[in-house]
Amino acid sequence: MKKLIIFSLLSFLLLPVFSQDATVLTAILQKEKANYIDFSYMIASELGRDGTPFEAYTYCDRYGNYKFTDVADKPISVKTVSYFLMSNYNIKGGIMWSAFKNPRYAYKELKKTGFWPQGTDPDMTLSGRDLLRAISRFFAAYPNSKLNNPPTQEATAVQRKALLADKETVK
Amino acid sequence: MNCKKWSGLFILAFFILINAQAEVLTWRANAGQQYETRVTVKESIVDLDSITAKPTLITNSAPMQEVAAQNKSTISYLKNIPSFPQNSVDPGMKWTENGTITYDISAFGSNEPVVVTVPVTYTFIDMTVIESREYFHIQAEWYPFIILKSNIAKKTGVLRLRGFSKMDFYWDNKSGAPKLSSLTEELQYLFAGNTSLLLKTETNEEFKTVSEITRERVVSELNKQIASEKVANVEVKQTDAGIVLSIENIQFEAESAKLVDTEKAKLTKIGGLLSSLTNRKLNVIGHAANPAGSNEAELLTLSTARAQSVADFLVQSGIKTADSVIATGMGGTKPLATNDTPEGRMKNRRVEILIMDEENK
Repeated sequence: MKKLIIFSLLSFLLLPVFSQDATVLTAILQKEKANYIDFSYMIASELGRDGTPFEAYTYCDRYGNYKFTDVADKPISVKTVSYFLMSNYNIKGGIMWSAFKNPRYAYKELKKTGFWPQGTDPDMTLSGRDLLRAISRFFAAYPNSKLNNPPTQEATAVQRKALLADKETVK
Repeated sequence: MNCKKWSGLFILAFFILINAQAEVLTWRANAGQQYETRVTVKESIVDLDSITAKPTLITNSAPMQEVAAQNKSTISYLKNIPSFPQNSVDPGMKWTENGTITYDISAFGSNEPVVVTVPVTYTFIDMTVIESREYFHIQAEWYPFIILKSNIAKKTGVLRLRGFSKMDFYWDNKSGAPKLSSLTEELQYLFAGNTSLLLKTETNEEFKTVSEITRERVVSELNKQIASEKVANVEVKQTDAGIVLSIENIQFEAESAKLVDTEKAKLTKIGGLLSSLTNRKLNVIGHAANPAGSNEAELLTLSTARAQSVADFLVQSGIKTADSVIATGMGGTKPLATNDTPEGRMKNRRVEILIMDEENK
């Protein structure tokens, strides 16, 4: 019962932060282990981007922080979340972060600021609820942070045409 | 002691009931037969800030049932989707089976298709009624992931395919085939240079199941014959159990199960219609009118005797063999109209001939 009250309260307080489908976010909140798609959906929601969770994932994948060999439904680690946030929201860090810019130093930078609670491990995964809390905490801590544009270019017209040779642009 | 005995019997009855309802889902095939299928395909490409879409493609296709059952799929590039567990399923149950997907990358210059096997997670949502028949509503999800071999990547410029697919389908376990299926595929193509494209494909299929196709043919044929033979008070309809030939206002001698001569002539004509369905078993079901004050036990006895009388006539006339006809009485439990008027009672006093599907023979 206590869990249910906490969950309901959390949903009520945090869902308005995000602009997208509440049912998707509710499903994420119930997950024991949030994955890359869930994290991407939250980021895209905060940006106000429409689309499916997998669309959000492919958008965030353009930033180059997700491992080439990781599947989309793999649980996302604390260090990957840190790496994405530190890299793409122009968060300044210490010398080691500036010099090496890798997931571990991204995690250390955020831990130093107290963003990650004591006892958090860089390789640990997060529940959907903990992930939502972390992202909400991030935007509260860095209210002026803004996601950069993706560093990768659009695919070429030839590649697009190869997939859909005779398509008409509708939007 | 008595209480223990009753609880034991109750538990036994409960398990018998559970087992009676248990159904193992499976593909079935009729050799040489085809599904009648309407396929709707929508494709679009999602880029950074644009969506490029192709006009929706609607086609009628007729996949061979045998091939679909062997591949466990009606979609050419999928195999073993959907697959089912060996045991029966209950709503809410989840299971995982491997499926195989073949991707055509010829558009990028490689004639070698990319084949990947992925775990597919299924969830049995519930039983859903569509057009008065019950179907198993099941959802399937999978995440394809392929890193292309270096020689193919070099040739095509495609480094990796990563995706998410979801299939929502309604399974007809009597036919062993889907009734409706909606597949959404999202596939990210990662190219050399770290550019990427997302291809979204929605494929909706509507099937006429094996039973439906066969039943429709039989119903159409019977209706043609009824019209040409001018048989009165006979209606043919499809039900979940099979095709029902309903003979309304059938006349028996008063208070008896003996058919009057005019009805025998009608049944001979109906027998002629049924003679072509040699492989089908018949269930002759008797119904009685049930006016106020009737004794239900008596109605049941009378309706059973009248059904038996019709069944015997079909056997004696050589239309059916004794082992291919059964008789059942329903008393007045299944009225078609009110029992308060003579017209209503006439409608309710009827014999139905249930033509069973071939798989139930």
